[in-house]
Amino acid sequence: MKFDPTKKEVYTDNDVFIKRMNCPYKMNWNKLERTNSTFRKCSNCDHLIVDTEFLSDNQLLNMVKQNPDTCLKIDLNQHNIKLISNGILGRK
Amino acid sequence: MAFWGGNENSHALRVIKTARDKDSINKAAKNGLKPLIKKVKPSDEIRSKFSVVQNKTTGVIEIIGDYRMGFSSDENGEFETVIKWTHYYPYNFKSPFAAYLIPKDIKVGERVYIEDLIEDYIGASWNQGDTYRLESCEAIWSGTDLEIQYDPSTNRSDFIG
Repeated sequence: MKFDPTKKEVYTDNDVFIKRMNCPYKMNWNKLERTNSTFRKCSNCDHLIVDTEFLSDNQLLNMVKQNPDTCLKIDLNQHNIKLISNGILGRK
Repeated sequence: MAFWGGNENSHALRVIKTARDKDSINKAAKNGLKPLIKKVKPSDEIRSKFSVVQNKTTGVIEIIGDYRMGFSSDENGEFETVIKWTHYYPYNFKSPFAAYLIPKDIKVGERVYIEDLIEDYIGASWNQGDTYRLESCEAIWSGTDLEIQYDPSTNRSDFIG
């Protein structure tokens, strides 16, 4: 999984676009209701938020394809993510 | 740019919108909002890093932002490093000034929610040393300015959305 923190875009390791992250409520992971180790619930919009740390690229891609409104949580320090700089460096 | 509206924050505070160019600022003013103009000043504390590697055969480049991304640049490797790790300011705003759009009925001491901060505060840090801007923050209206209620403990490493 790849993540661009400036544009908040998530890609697979093969550069397939998954999702642009946007939370209008600016929710804080630690304040979300815990449902299990992978999901937490948002009280504002009733969505489940998926912790991407334990998902493969395919699992994540399929999840977002099935439900494009899926909310994600990405930690910059999680083991399965590499940060990319597509922001102003990749601009055409 | 959109004018202030909705309570899209977890504390249901009034939302202050930001206009980032002359036309948007003037449009807001004509719609009864008071634009509070600020310079856009990049902070030295916000920084990301990059390195550029180039395929020795094709000349195609790749931009790397993570020390863990494996592009071998040794003598026998396919790629060579053409720009070593370099820090830079990773944002680019179209105008060097912007404005908070203040509603006319705002009260002195009112706590509000700024959706798009003009000032640079650290919002997220990565263990490789990169730091990213805080996007939104609460503030208190003093009567002449918005006093940003930045709490350094909110500097996080996770993103939701």
